[in-house]
Amino acid sequence: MSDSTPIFEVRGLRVAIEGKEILRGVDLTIERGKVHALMGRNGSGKSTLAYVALGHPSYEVLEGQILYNGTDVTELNTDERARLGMFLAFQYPMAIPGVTVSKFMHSALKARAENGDVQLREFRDKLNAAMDLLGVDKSFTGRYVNDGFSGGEKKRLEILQMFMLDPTFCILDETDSGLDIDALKTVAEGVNATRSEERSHLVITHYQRLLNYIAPDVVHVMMDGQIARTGGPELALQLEENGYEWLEDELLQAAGA
Amino acid sequence: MDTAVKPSLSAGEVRAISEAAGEPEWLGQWRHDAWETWDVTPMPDRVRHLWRYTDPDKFLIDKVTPMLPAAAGEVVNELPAGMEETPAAVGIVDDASLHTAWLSPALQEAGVVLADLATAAGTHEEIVREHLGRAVSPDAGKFEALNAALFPGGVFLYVPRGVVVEGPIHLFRRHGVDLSAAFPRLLIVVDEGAEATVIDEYSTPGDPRVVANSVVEGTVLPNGHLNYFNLQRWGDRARSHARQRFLLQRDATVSSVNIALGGQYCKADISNVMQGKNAQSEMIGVTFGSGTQHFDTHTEHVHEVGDSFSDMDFKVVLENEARSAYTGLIRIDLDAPNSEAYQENRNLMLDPTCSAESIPELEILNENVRCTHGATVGPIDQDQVYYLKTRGLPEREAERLIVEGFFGPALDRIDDEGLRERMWSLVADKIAD
Repeated sequence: MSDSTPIFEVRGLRVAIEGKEILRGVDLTIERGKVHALMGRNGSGKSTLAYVALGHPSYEVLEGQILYNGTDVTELNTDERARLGMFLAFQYPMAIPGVTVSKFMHSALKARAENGDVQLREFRDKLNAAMDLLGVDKSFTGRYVNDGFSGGEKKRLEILQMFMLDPTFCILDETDSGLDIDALKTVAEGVNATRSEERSHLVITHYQRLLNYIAPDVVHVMMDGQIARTGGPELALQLEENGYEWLEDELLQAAGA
Repeated sequence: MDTAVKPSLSAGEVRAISEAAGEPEWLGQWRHDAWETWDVTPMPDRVRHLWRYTDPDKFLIDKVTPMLPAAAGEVVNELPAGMEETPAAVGIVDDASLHTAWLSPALQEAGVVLADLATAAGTHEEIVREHLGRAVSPDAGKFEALNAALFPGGVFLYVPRGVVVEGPIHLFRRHGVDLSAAFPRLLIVVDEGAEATVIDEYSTPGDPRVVANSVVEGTVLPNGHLNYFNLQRWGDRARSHARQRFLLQRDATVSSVNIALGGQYCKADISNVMQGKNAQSEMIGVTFGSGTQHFDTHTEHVHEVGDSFSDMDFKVVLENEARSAYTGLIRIDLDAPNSEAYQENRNLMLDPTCSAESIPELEILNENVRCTHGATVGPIDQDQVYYLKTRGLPEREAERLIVEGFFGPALDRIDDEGLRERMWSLVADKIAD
């Protein structure tokens, strides 16, 4: 795989849930080492793209392709995509009562290990190092996954997982984040700390506010199930200032012209 | 001793079998009476709610050979090799007889008794007579009467006053004879201020066809403490009717853990009775059914005396076409004020082809009590599965983790780390299958 192969690429993607078409022909390319932001109103299809990228079974791909590192993953199972190096930080992560963070992380690492095992000592060292780096309290490991966690704690756990699993393509679904400033900062720190030439991020957000902490290379705006516009960081600022109507009007005018 | 008997065996013959086995006369009479009870007791009525889910005919023994009382053989006082934990005592029953009863020197010194029950009926007559059939009377039901009449050998455990047993007393009850009926019986007496942990493990090596009819009963005297673990690991071709009941006197505690993994067709009736003030019972149940296994479990916490406490946490996981019916009764008597009773039953179904029922039953006759109960039956949460899969766990691994988490809070209540790990590994082994 040459370095110029995009980490993530979506071609003509049409997706439906319960018969209703949500994504109506999405094209998107994310190069290696870049941070992309995906913005748009609620209901525009941003979260759907995130779920479909990781093969959520409720969504039906009608047409198009999803490529990871040049490989067509459209037909792969969720767990296979994850083991290839794709990661999704959930907006609302699920609680797994009775399963400790430590056991969960160990199981996830074992699932990717070539021989199916990760020595406990090695695992603990790695986990401790990641927690130190992120300033996560050590008591975290003995708690049940997301069970009774505050919004901020859930974000920290998602980011901790992103560190531990070492993916090369990370989608962060932060659609409605922006209310809790601490949670926002946690996510931003996570993205900034994992930014590298080998890794790309797709940050999904509704508010420009998150982008005050993360400087994206590319900004996309999604409207009505399609990428309506792609630009640089200035696009996010324009949206912040003028709202989505401005872009809608412009697109309508263009269509009318 | 493997003589085939017709179910038409007479009470007199039952007494003769007991006599021929060298049992004391009073036990022969007791068996004689139990047989008469069996004889006159009609088969359980399927209309009665406790038999709504299970066919009693499945536990009849006319097509199998009962393992009958016989002269006690030599009992070896030797610690078997290959024990996973460091036990305080070990008892091994193979088919009909207790052949190994090992007690640590400290327990021997302290006067702990681990013996063949029928033999103890002679050597420790007073205490056995006082407690045999006290918690589970031959009159308790048709199959309880049959066990009383025919149990061969049996196990008797006595922990004398004030003796605190460190480490588990591990009992193995193995039944390997094809087409046989097994009647395991255990009597535990924990005397005042004494304390013991018992692991009671049932299996059918070689997967024979066995109809098992078991009784576990016991009395915990004032301020006595019993931790009781029942590991039901019958083979795929075993049917099991199991009755378990402990009586708790003043300030006594019983913590019982029932782990049911094996058997094809299983009915269990598990109860603890608070008979003294400040008696406290904690009951944990873990059932994991797969294939076409059938589990019918009834639990009871009965508060006969007030200022007593009970807590029940019963978890069921089913997959394939397994079935479970759970009924849980809390009964608080009229003159048992200030009792506290909690009950929770949760059922997790991994496949749409399994079925689970959960029926809490409350008979609260005193108004001045605290009591809660909860029951849920539901499929595995696909959003949880997806979440775990996005972390790279294959579907089966994701399910396994969710199941472990489901059982976790129940199993994590086991204080002793070694025992907790062992229970975990038994459950995990079944999940991995």
